[in-house]
This record gives sequence, C-alpha cells and structure tokens, in this order.
Amino acid sequence: MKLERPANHVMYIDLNSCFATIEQQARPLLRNRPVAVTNRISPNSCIITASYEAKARGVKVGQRRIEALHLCPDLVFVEAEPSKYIFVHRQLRRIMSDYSPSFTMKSIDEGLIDLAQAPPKWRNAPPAEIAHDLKRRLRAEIGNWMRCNIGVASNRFLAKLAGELHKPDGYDEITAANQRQIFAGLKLTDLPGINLRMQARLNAVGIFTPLNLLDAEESTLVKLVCHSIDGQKWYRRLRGIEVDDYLSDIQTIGRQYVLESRRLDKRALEARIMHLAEDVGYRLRSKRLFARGVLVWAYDYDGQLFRRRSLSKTAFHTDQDILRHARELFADFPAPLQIIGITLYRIQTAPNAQLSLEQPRLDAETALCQAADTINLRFGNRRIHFAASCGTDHVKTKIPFGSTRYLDRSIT
Amino acid sequence: MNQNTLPENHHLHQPIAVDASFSRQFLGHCRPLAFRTATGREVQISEIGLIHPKYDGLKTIFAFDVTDGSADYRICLDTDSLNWFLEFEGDRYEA
Repeated sequence: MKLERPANHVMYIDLNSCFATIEQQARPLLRNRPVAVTNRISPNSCIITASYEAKARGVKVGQRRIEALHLCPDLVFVEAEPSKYIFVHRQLRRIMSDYSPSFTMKSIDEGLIDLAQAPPKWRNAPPAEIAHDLKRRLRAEIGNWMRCNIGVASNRFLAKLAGELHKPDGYDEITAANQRQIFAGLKLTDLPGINLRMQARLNAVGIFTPLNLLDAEESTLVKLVCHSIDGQKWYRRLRGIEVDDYLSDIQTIGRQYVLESRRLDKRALEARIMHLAEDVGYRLRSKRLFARGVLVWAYDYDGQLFRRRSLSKTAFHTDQDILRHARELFADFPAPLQIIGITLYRIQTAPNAQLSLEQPRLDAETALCQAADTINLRFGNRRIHFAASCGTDHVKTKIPFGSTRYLDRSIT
Repeated sequence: MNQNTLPENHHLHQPIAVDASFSRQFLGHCRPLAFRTATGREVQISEIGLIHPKYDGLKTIFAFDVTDGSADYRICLDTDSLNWFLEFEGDRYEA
C-alpha cells in the first residue's frame, strides 16, 4: 500500500541552550561569556545547561563542575532559578498559541504547533514566514538575547529532526524532495529516538545509516528490528506520517535529590526522605490522583543502584502514607548514599470504593494534608510542613525537565 | 569577576528608592530607570534583562534583572506592600 505523505504542517520550536540563554538574557554582563547552569553551586554539581560559548570550549551537559573548570577556567557558574525558566516557558506557550489553537509543549523548552489547525492567516502563510515572525516575537516579548531553533515537516519526528539540524537560531524544513539529501549527511544516532542500543539492533540487520533505515522494508523493521508494531511506526514515521500524536496519562510521579554530604545521620536522611514524600504527595494531590505503589531508589558513591518497591491494596495520597512506605523501604539501604529518589506508581484517578477498617485515621490524615496544602497555596511553598522534614528548606524545587504537567501556577 | 554575591552584601533585601516610568510601550509596562540602595549609592539602569513574576503563595513579586553596564542587579517590586528591594548584586567587572 502506498502511504500518502501529508503537507508540511508541524512546526517544532526549541529554545537554544534554554536555561543558559535565559540567564544571559537576564544578566546582560554574562552575554558572550561561557556560562554553565547547575542545580546548586558545589564542587561536585553537574552542569544542566551550558551556553554556546561554553560548548565551543568543550563544556558538556552532565559534566561535573571541576571537570568543566579544567576545560574552561573562566566558566561562570549560575545556580538554576526555576521561576525564571517557567516564566519564559509560559511566554513561549502564549506566543505559540497565537499561531494555532492546536499546540503542545513537549518539555519546558520545546513545543509543537499544528499549522493545519491554524486560522487562515497562518495556515496559508509559508512556514518560513511564520518561523521568522515567531523568532521576532520571542526577541521582542521576552528579550533580545533569546534564540530558538525551528523545524517544519509533515510529522513530529521529522519536524524535531529539522529543528536540530542547525543550532543556534536555525530554521529548516524537511520535505519529500530534500529528505534523502538531509539524511545522507546524518548518523543513525542523530535521529530522535535512536540510541546506541537501537543503533546496535539496526546494525545487526545491515542498517548503518539513516538512508539504509529509510530504504528498509517494513517487514524488516517489524520482524527483525523492533519485533513489534513499533517497526511499523518507524516505517511510517520516516515517511512523514504522524504516529506520535498521542497523549499519555500520568503513570508515575517522582522526585530525586542528590545528598549534600556523606556524613548525614539517619535523622537527617529521614528528613530529606520526608521532604521528597511531601513533594510527590503534593504533586499527586494537585492532580487529584491516588497511588498504590511506592518505589524508592538510591545510588551509593560507587554508583551501585538500590531499589525497593511496595504495592498496597488500597490507594493513598497523603504524605503520611507515602512516608510510611518510603521509610520502611529505605531502612535496608546501606549508608552513605549519594542520590535518593521516591517514585509513586500505579496511579489512579479515584480512591478505593471499599472502605478500609482504618478509615477514620485515613480521613483525618487526608484532612490534615488538605489543610496544609491550602495554607501553603495561600501563604507560600512549605510555609507549613511536617516536623519530620524540618531543616530541609535547602532542598529546592527542581526544574521539571520532561513533563510540563506541573508548570501551572500552583506548583511554583 | 565576582559571582553572585559581593563580600559586602548587607544592603541586600533592604528597601530601595526607585525611579520608574510606566508606559504601555515598555515591556511589562513598568520600566525602572535608576535606584538608590540602602547605603545611599545611586545606580543608573542602562538595560533591563528580564522581568518575571515570582510567587509566594498568592503574593506576586516582580523581579527586574537589570544592569548599569558594570554590574548586574535584581530589584524586586512586592505587589502586596508596593515596596522595592534589592535582592541581588553580582558580576562586577574589575577590569
């Protein structure tokens, strides 16, 4: 069956080196200088974004401060400030919404516009003109240092690939006419969604380049590479057919924290666990959801991962319940730990239909959590919290990299 | 270059006096032009980097990241009390 490629209508927008660019926008004296953004200023902190000036000197995302300073002694470290980034995210969202009512934020710094749903003024305009206008508005309405990459194609996958071709401040369009030429200059791992493991699987069946992948039979991808319907999706994705426009429900809610010292005693560790429990509990309740499972995990200083989980018969959403599970699960982990995390799973939208024998206690705990949430919403984050998490106010809200679900007003 | 804080930062979080213009033509409608710190130092603002709101419960504080060309500052307007304060001073070039 011949697949019909739709017209180019998906526009992908990606803010360049987002957090570092926003810092350079906010602080003009940092412009044209190598800048690295970290979650906190400490010798072992990792870089979460580097400016283009820093990248040109070999600084990479994920590098430790000490390694980066070795490469670039005049690197300026800036502590991340989520409120600033969330503000820019909202401004970008507002600007994107002016081009089409159908737009999606994929993360804090990237989004997609469906131009097929745009009003006639934009639907009939050349995509390059829309991209030019969007870039102009970004500079005029957020700041003149702001840059973004824009890619246009007939589906999300190719639009994202187009958006990553020329950084910074690029614009590219992938069409049926130029796709082979563009693919000829790329490696397999340049394609979004192809990591080293997937590359190895492709190599095993004689696919070594994006052009090989584009020319592969659908049956090869289904039977030999993906062993599932994913092969069919890849076949269509590469031909500009949309297969990625689905909305996923919340499956997990999690939070992690890099411990600041090896010498934390049991009480200090429990306080940080309680802090994480309060954070994930608040996120869960803010979406009116319940969980049945708690997964706790930790890395020690040798990089060894420890994981334990517990699945409850009854759904819960109070901080006390989350902490009860987490405390028990963490009890066996050997000290000292470097990173700790709590993830809630088996998320559901309703509490259990059947009443528990412990219902009066559960009702009281729910009422207490709701009262605390109301006070914190009115007077500020962590204005009231459990005594067990005292002394952990330095455990700041992290930047939500993946999901944009928590970028609404109530969380910040 | 000093990063983030100067050794003498006792003037931070203190009320400051700000000269500002309000006009629709400016980004955010409010444009601070100059301010005087708690220690009496006057700073002429040459560029506004970013204006963004910060929320503390229902209270909104507008943060103005500004520069006078030799140092970066953050001045904040508390929309509850309508007071301005200096939150941050950094990146002063010695050369």
